[in-house]
Amino acid sequence: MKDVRSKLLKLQKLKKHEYHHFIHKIHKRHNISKRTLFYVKEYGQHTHVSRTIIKESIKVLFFASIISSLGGLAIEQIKTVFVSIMPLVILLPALNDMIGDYGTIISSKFSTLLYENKVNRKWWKEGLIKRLFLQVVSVALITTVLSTMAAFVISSLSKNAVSLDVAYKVFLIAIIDVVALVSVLFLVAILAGTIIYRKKEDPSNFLIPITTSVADFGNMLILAMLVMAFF
Amino acid sequence: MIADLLLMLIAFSGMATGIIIGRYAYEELKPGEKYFIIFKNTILVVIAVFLALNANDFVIADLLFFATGFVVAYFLRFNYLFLGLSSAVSIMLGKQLFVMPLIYVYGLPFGTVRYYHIRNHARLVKAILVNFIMFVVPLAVLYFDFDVNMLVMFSAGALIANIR
Repeated sequence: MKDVRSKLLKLQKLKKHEYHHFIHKIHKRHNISKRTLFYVKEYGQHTHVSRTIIKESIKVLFFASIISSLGGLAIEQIKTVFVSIMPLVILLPALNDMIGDYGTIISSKFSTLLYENKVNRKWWKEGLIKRLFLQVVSVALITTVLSTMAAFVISSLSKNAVSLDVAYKVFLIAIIDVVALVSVLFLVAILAGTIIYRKKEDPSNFLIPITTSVADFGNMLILAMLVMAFF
Repeated sequence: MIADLLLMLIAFSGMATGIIIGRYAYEELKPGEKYFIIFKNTILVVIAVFLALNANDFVIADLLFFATGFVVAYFLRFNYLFLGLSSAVSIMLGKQLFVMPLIYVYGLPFGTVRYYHIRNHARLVKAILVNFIMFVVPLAVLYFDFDVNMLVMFSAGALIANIR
């Protein structure tokens, strides 16, 4: 027991590598799973958890920030029409935040499924994935309808109340935007998550910034496209 | 008219959505029930105040209509009947984009509380159907030449009586 503990402590002091030979050695000798050893190395006591997370996430975070800021360019193209439709102006930050949150939920749930070995190569046939997709889409639809309704109430109180025709268009735009983006986020999370997991990295550190930035960028891009199509 | 009817359908879907939320978050219902009730009552007050403020000219007869609405709704405890009346009145006033979304929001806690107390699927479906019929029946007032002011004050009174 003392032997194992000393080896685990030694393991924690190792610098981050994709896969250290010491993991294999402890795994063979003491029959401890490789995944447990990986987490002891990455996130155990005195292993600078925050440093590991920052080191793993910083590059993808920069990448994500650049992608997110590109979304603003799409909105810039339609700013005159966009600003004249009050409920859309109210909805944009709400949708951005909401879809980003769905990205986080999808990423963390999918990472857990990967670690539990519940995702096969044919992920589209997995019942758990289908269930997760349906759950997220249903919650997304409920919250979208709710936020659209709130946007109508707020805009009715201002001087920029919209007509019923415009209201229906805004409602449709919000629904299409959310359903399309949740589907895209799902695909991104599954594809990127599987690749990252195969490289024996922690998918949560990469997937959350990637999906939230795709959500920010995608939301503004799809909104801009839909506004151009509907108005 | 079809656009208004569709809007009413969306507004009513709040109740069904509330039931779905109640089903998936059952453990939250007991501790949250009093907040749900406060929330739905607040929405009723907001709709009632909004309607009353939209009365064209406030005369003493309006108070009478308000009181009549209050008394009728006090004995006829059908929330969605008077919400339907409010919807019809809001269509007359051209303010449906304020009232209908609030009815949708009202439906969420209403449906959730209903699920907590009923839970039986057949009875829930029956409750949705009955409330839906109650909700659309008042649309008939659009085909008659009623005084808008009277209806506004009547429905405002009725909504206040539904606070419970």
